[in-house]
Amino acid sequence: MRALLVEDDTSQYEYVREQLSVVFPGVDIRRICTESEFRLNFETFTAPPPDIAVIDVMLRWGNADASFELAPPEIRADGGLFRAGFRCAAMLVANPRTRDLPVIIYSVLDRGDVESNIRQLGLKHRFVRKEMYVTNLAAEIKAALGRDRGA
Amino acid sequence: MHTLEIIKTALEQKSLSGIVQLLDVIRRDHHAAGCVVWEANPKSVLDRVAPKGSLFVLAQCFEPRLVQASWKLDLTTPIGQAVVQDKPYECPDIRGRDRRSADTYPFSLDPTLTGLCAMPLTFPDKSRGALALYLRGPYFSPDDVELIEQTARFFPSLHHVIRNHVSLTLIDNVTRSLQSADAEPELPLRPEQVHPRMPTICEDVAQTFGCLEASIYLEDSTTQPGVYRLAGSTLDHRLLKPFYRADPATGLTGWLLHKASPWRIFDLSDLTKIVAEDPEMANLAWSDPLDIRKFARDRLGLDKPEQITPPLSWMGAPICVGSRVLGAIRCCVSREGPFYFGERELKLLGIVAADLGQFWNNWLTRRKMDHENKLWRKVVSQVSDTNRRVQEALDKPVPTVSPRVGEQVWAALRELAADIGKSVLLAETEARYTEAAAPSVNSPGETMQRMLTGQIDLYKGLAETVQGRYKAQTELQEQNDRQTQTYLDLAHQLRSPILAAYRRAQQALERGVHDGELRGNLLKVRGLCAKARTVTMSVKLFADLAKSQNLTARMGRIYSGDLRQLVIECADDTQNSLDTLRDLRFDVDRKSDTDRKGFEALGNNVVMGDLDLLRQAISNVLDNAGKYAKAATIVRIAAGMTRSGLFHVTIYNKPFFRPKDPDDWKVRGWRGKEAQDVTAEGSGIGLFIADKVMSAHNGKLEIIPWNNEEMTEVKLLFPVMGTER
Repeated sequence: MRALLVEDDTSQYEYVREQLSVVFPGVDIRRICTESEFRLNFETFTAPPPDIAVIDVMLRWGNADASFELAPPEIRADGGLFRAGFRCAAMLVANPRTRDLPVIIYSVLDRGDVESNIRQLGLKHRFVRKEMYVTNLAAEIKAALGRDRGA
Repeated sequence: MHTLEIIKTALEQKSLSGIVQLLDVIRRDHHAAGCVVWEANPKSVLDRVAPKGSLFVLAQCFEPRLVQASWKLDLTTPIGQAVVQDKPYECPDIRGRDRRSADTYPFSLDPTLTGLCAMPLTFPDKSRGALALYLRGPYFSPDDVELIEQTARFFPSLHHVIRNHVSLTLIDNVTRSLQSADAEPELPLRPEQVHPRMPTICEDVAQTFGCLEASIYLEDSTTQPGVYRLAGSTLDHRLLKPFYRADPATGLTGWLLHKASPWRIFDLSDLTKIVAEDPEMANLAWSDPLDIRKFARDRLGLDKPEQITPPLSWMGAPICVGSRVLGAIRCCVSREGPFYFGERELKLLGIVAADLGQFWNNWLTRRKMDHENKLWRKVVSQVSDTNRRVQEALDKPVPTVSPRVGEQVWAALRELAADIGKSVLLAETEARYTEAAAPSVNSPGETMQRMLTGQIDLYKGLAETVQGRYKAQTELQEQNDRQTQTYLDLAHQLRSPILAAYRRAQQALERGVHDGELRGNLLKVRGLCAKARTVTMSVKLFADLAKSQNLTARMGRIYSGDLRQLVIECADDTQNSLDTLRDLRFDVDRKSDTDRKGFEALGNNVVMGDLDLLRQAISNVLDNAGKYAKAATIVRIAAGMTRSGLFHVTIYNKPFFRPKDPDDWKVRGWRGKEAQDVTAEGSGIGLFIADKVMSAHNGKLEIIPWNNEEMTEVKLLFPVMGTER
């Protein structure tokens, strides 16, 4: 299985990676840290597309390093880091190559906070709240892969 | 004579253009072809011997509508003289007169017009004018002229009634519209979700003033400060500038935002001349894409070249809260009379702008609070993550740590997990806005009595809605207080389990852990606990500061060794809690190399301070460096005495961006755009709190960017006290 994990918090990423490796032995996880990295590398990590994408909602735009560039005004006007994950998911939904890719929004926010955004994306039952353990995330990945492969 | 019909018509009007309906009734009543109200230009001098100035058409009504009066008449013309001399002017047969001496324009447009009768008027605000009736065929009888004179006597009062009624209706409509938005339980997160209210308000304003354009521009200070975006308009947005800045070079609205006070212009066609004559308007450039003159002619149906364009009157008011300009509302080009926005209309627009300012400011505040809540939730999640990592570490077999130590750490963290669960529930408790009572207003009935009752109800309704606005304000303040209390509860519940976890991790390390991986994990745990402690303490201090302006320090003697130990711990903990991708190194100058440098420079003297608060200030500064220093650089921490005899702890780092004014870092809630782009953490209170901590120590926090270098110094300065150890 090839998974795309969009997560800017390294400790979160490391834990999820460790745990998913146990539940899905041999899983190949590609990490994306920031929204700008997602946009820049979109063609690379979607050719061919992964089997599943797990996306955090609150993501930083870029890294504090020499390559830093300010986020464009339209990104700020669209909620900045608070909606970064939704914009990434929307790019996947809009691209014919990744339109059918199962996407899981994985966030510390509550379902009520994100429901309308997920509805706009057209994603169904693809939200998992970040908890102490990844049990719910793993179950949702299994369900999504099973459902999409069976369809 | 149908006086009752005229009064009834006046009371029924809901917009200023109702004056045209009134003129139509008067015209029909006197079997005239046209009826025109003239008003003297405010700058006119109505001197009987040497008058100066002109009259302009306030409103007019001709049958057919194609006919119109000249928009401007000199005071030397017969109608002008009627105004100056305050006596009637009668012209029973224009064919027997020198046409040049009368208002020839309507006569040239309609050759069947034969004469006119003009009566002088004095408006309630003491301005002067004339009511003129144009007729076809035989002239009025003496009785008719007497009736026209009577009508002219009460006409100004009726006009005043229309303006009053319209003003109150507009304020009432706007207040209700904004009040219903304030009372919505769900907070829209994005400005465009609030904006549907703005076009409605623009429609109300345009309807009231009878103008073609009413537009609102607002600044969203959190996303694009200084940019005032179009929030609503009665016109197609493609015809308008999408945004302005408070700069005359961006146009008339930009100039208004810059000037920050209401303004009106009699005729935009004269703008170039007005700008040239008024030094205040220097640098104003008309940069709107719209050709206002062509636009007005199209919309007013003036398709024949011989039809004169009326004055393109313009007025605008800044939308302010206190001295802060949040936006502007403007109106332009009357559809029908009155063709001139008077001082009273400008004041009315100012009242609408004040109401909008209060509403927009409240909305921005509510959104900021909502963002803050989300950030705190993220913090809680990170603390949960700390706990989980400790559990993971302790689950592994550890031959070098006694089972008892492991058990103690485990127990402390179980407690932490339980408390975090409770805190999350607390943070999720959201206050709901209660809907303010909405008074009802009867619409004017068909009889005079009902209409007057409606008028009284309108006053009552207005009083109630204004009261409702105050209530909404109070509720907002109460919600602020509740949020502060929630932060305090959250901090209180998190603090002791986090301290316990920190101490347990420290104990385990002190007892000697030889397994490299476990030791690394414990150090990491200690670092994350320290970070959680710093954030928790910041929450508490932030809440304390929200209640009062200053912090209280519990002073004790702090020696150089204590300070060195504190700084080293803070540096190590910050290092250990950092995202490894950042590749930063925190380096403490542990020894002095000269007499004045290093912690030893304090000698036998002490710093009087509160260790907990100082730990917080230093941790906050280091945490900031951890977030914003360039990747793969060194953050250096040094100490020593300054020439002025203060003790300093200085953090040298290379931030990847710097604000124009370094003191911006210390402003509560300030976050540079760049900061928001590189981390979801941070709500702009770290250095604000550090600054307050230093003030509580009679010291100060200084931020010193090095010229022409990337380095920035953050200096914590303390007074020193001499003592014997």
